[in-house]
Amino acid sequence: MKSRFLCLLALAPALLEAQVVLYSLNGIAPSPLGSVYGYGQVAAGDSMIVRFRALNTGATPVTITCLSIKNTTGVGFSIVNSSSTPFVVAAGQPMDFFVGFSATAITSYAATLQVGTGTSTDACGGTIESAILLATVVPAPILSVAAPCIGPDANRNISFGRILQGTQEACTLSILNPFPQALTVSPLLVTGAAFTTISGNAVTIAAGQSTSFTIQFSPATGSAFSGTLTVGTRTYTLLGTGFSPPLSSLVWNFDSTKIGSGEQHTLSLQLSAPATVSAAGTMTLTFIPSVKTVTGDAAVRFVATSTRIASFAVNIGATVITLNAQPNIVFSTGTTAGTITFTVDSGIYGLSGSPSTSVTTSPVPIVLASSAATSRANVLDVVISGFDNTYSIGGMSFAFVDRSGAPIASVPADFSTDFQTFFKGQTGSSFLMRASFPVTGDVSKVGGVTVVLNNAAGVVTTPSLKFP
Amino acid sequence: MKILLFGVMTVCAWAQIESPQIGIMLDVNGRARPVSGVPAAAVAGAPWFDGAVISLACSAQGCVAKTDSALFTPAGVVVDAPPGAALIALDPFSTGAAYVYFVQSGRLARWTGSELVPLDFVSGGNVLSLRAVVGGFEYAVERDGEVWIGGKSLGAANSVLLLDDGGALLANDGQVRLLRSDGTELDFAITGVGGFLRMSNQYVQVITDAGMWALDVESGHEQMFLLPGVSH
Repeated sequence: MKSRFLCLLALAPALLEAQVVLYSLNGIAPSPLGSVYGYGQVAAGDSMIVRFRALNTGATPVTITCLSIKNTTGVGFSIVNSSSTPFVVAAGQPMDFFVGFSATAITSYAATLQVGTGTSTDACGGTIESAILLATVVPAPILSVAAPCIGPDANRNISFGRILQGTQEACTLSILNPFPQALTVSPLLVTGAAFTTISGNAVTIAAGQSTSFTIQFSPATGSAFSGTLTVGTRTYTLLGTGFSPPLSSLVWNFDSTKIGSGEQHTLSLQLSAPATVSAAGTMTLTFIPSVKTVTGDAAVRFVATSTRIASFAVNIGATVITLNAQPNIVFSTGTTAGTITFTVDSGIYGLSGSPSTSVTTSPVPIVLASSAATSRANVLDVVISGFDNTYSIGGMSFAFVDRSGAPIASVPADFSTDFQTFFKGQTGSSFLMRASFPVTGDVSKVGGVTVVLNNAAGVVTTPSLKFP
Repeated sequence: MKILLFGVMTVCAWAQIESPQIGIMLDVNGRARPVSGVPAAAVAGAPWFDGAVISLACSAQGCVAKTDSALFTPAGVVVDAPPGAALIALDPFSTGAAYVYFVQSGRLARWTGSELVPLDFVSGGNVLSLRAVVGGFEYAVERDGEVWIGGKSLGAANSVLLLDDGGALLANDGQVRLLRSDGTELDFAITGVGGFLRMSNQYVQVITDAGMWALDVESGHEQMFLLPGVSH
């Protein structure tokens, strides 16, 4: 009985051992880890990190209590990122960890990776999965980049910056051999559609010397480009952006040099020189009232769409800009004094000169659209419509005449409060006013009236209005 | 007498103020929308209702509109009507009444404000527009490539609208002609006119390929301006 128990104990490690299987990962694809894993050649001073996986292939959870690196030749390997142990791995689930290598001495390195499920008092002394890790440090040349290029940075990016599409930019790069013996750098390769070099595929550099070569960046289009430069064991990313030349300055054409409130005007837009690229964007309209009590005017906008934004487009080689696919656009100036500003946003295409222009609608006396006089039984009505772009209408006088045209009386009135109340609910200053005058006596004897209306910008007088 | 009269006027004068109304327009989606403000700075309001209107006429007395299958007024009167578009002539001599010509069926009816009363009518041509006159109506027809009102030819036109004052609007060859009853004429350059719509007593909507315009037909005020549009 006792011997059978000891036999079972002897089998137990084997059962546990079979439950954890190690993998290495290249990207996200796992490969079974053999007894030896090679990091290959690593440039002196560089680091290389490999992701490993301990997979629980059993049907029950397993606790990983040991995760260690024992450097056996040199010191270069270390666990750089992992979950802390003990770590319970559910059935069928993995535990990933990362082992890095970095060293400067030119020699070979070895270490043992251990993953164990032993007891808490002897975590790595029981059942373990292990592998030998190998790496060789090789001499690494030093790459430097001359202006106008920048880099390489910590991520080994070399930037060629932004240049005009269709042009070229050459950058000189130098490779220094800092070691006391000759160094052959191979491969020396450039990839990427916009990047070229005339250097050979390999170069031998004498001890302590350097060699130079150029890489040409030639963006054919206005977009971002990338490539790679491989210098021996190191790979650098080449980056550059081609951009389209900015559109030439805008020529704003209004249908009139005099623009006032209550009007519709046509705006057309041109470039001062033919576009070197087909471009598109938007044009927006903004309005700032000069009347302090007013925040806006809903009628100030592009009329056909009742919006304050329009699309613009120009074809390569053309100067004429279309607005909402039309050769021009109509806007309303509204009924509020202020400044209307048009701004073009050409986006990535850029624009020479100012993208904006403004027109100002000045405060003016009340503009009359219609006026009429009517009479009812014992009431005279004067109906006036129009707008006041200063929002200061109120003071008026009504000069009544008899049927022969002789003056009867001039009646002053102040409807300022009525108008201010009315304007509070409006987004413009247009109005239709019916002024009513109750009369005692024979209204038919009143033949006409002339109204003088005042605002902050001046005075306006109606025609002589006849009562029927 | 004068002193007494205007002493009272001065003390009691009052003012009612509101937004000026231009009329009712049909937007590009066929929605009937009130238009307010002054002509070149007009603003379109919310549509009457969510459905599409295919024919419309408005005056100071009100509007009559037609959907594909009904005639209705903004006051909520709705009656079944023959399908398709209609020519609507509001009757200035009878508030709320109108003559309605149903284009598809060629039938004419009198709208009383609450019902459609069929009328005997033989046009003798393709009816283009009609208007109410004292004691009845008159109409324009297309015959031999010209527009005729009775025995009088107005010449060739793509679109016609007879005005209450005896005048007419005709669209042809990139212009709109405003013919006055006194024989005078005003021309407005505008292309692609597809039809006219009476927005109010004073304004006519001019529907074109490129946008919606309004024409002030009141004598002495004649002008065109672009109506506020909406997105499709």
